[in-house]
Amino acid sequence: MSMFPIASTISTGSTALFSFTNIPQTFTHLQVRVFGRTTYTGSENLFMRFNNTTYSFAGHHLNGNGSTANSSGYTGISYMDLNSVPNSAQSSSIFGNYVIDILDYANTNKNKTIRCIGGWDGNGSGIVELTSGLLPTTSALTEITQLGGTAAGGSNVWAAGSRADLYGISTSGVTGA
Amino acid sequence: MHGAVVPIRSQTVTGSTVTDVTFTNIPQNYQDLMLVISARRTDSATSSSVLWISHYYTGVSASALSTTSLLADGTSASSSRQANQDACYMGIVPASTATTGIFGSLTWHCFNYANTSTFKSALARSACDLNGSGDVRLSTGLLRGTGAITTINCSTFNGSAFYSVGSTFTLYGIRTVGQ
Repeated sequence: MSMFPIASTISTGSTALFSFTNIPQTFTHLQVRVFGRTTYTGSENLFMRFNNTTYSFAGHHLNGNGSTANSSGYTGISYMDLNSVPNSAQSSSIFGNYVIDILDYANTNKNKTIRCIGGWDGNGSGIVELTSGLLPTTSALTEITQLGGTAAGGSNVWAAGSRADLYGISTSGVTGA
Repeated sequence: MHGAVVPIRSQTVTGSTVTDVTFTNIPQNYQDLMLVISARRTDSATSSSVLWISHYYTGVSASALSTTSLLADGTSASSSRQANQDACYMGIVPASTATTGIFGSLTWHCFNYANTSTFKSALARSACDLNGSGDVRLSTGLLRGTGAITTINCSTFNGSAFYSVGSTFTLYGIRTVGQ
């Protein structure tokens, strides 16, 4: 199995949402690696939308906030809710880390189940989460239309230095390393 | 097309008195780092002990690391936190009373490690299953310093506890577009 960089996007401080279009259909899996924080003042979560289409998403969260472990789930919302993101209440140097795996994204016989691990630590605060999301379509995933904080818009943007990197994962024997 | 995951260095414990496994002079030309560990410790009279990981650079303050973890031990799920530490508590590995041959595993990611404007955070998932005990964890660690990461250290923080022979520590660079 080999991983290859496909695309990268970086916020200079005015980007509300990241996106990846025309995703090659030649890999087996995708991985999105996000390093980010938002400028929003309130509680903020990382979300995704796909294929420039409105879907009804479902998902589960398992998280730890330093004191307790918590489980929750959702159905019937218009975005995939993935993870907590640091906001303007945290030190401006604190960014969250997220690894999002999208398996069999080009398969047209399967709904897509997405998993994410991620979180942030604030030296006395923070959260770490393991989450899943169901993308209820058998269509190939060709576009990550929106990737950002749930409050994105207006002055609520990815802080400067935030970035998302898209990788394709091949099952071929090519290492390329 | 170049692969994204590039092996940088690998260390296998062969001596019986190794308390620290350290990667220095880490190349600065990747986007992220990934460290893959298969390890156990020799701490006496216990079945498991901590896998500490410190990511830092010369001149950063002591006790600048902290961790938030989510874990499940076979009975319950819980969460823990350590602030103002010399290292991040990223998981546990088997120790002296665990069945011989069982090693814990951990994959650690450090994002954007070479930038000089943000604090450096890491994310790790670990597994230590001892056939009736142990735990599985997801942890995030923070270094409150904006310098580029040049060193990673995995210390037992115990002069009489060592990494077991056969423990492996492999560091990879993850490159993005244009690297």
